[in-house]
Amino acid sequence: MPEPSEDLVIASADLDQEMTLLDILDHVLNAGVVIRGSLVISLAGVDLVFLGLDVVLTSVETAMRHMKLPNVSAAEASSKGPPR
Amino acid sequence: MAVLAYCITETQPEITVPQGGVRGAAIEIVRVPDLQCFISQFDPQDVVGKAPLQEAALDFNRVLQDLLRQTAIIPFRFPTILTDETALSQFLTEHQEEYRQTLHRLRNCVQMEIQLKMQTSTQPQATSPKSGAEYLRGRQAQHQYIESIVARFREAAQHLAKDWRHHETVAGIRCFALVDRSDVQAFLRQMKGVSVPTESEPRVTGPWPASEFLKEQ
Repeated sequence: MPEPSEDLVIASADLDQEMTLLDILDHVLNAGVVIRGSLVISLAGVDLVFLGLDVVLTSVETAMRHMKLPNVSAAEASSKGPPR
Repeated sequence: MAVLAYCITETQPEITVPQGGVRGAAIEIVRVPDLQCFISQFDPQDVVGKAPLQEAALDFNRVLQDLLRQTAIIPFRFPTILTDETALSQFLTEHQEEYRQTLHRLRNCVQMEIQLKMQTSTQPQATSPKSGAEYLRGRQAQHQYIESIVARFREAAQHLAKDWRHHETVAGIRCFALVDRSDVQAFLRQMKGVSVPTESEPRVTGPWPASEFLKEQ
């Protein structure tokens, strides 16, 4: 029989228990409305569309790998190879 | 100038605009009938080249949470960048009725999430299958095991959750409950009382924007 969930972790702003960085990044990068198509900006010389779609479509694990690179922008990190 | 879109809300009730957005940029409002969208003017060159993405994402979340405390929101994924306010207005106008109905349906609601990890040691049939049939039986048993745990949480939440969704992931299973914002504390107490295997590392987070419930099932 399972034991009572004494180990259950609650991370809620309502209880002044802060959510982890991973919780937050997971939600802002993987949840919400996605706009696709010509409305999204594309600037010459800046791989912004690639950056945007890259982050939106990738997993948090992959995004976190990029974020751990010190002093390397996301665009530069993306240029090292598209995460899948 | 390009704009970074945060989220969409109804125009009522009146909302206090957060002090600063991503990278301290001022937050502005783009309005269409019945809807408003919170944005910041955005210089892609600056942010792409210099700002750590993580820091910007945390700023983005802070804005969303600030607004969520005041009303229901439809968040954009970060980073959603549009060419200018005209492009955003066009997008909002095209989806105006859909978002108006969604925000009306989600009014006063927030999303709570339960994450359960399924480690190998907790899974039935953990040993390597000797045949395809054995593998499939193992998968079925594992699925039933996971569903039984989800059912306990769902039962505990049934009086508080207006809607419930869950789906399996590589790491385990994620459950989402749509809860009235006045019931968040009660929901958390209910979840605390659920008996589950400790190996599943149950974790409850929220309140979040109701992103999993934007589409009706």
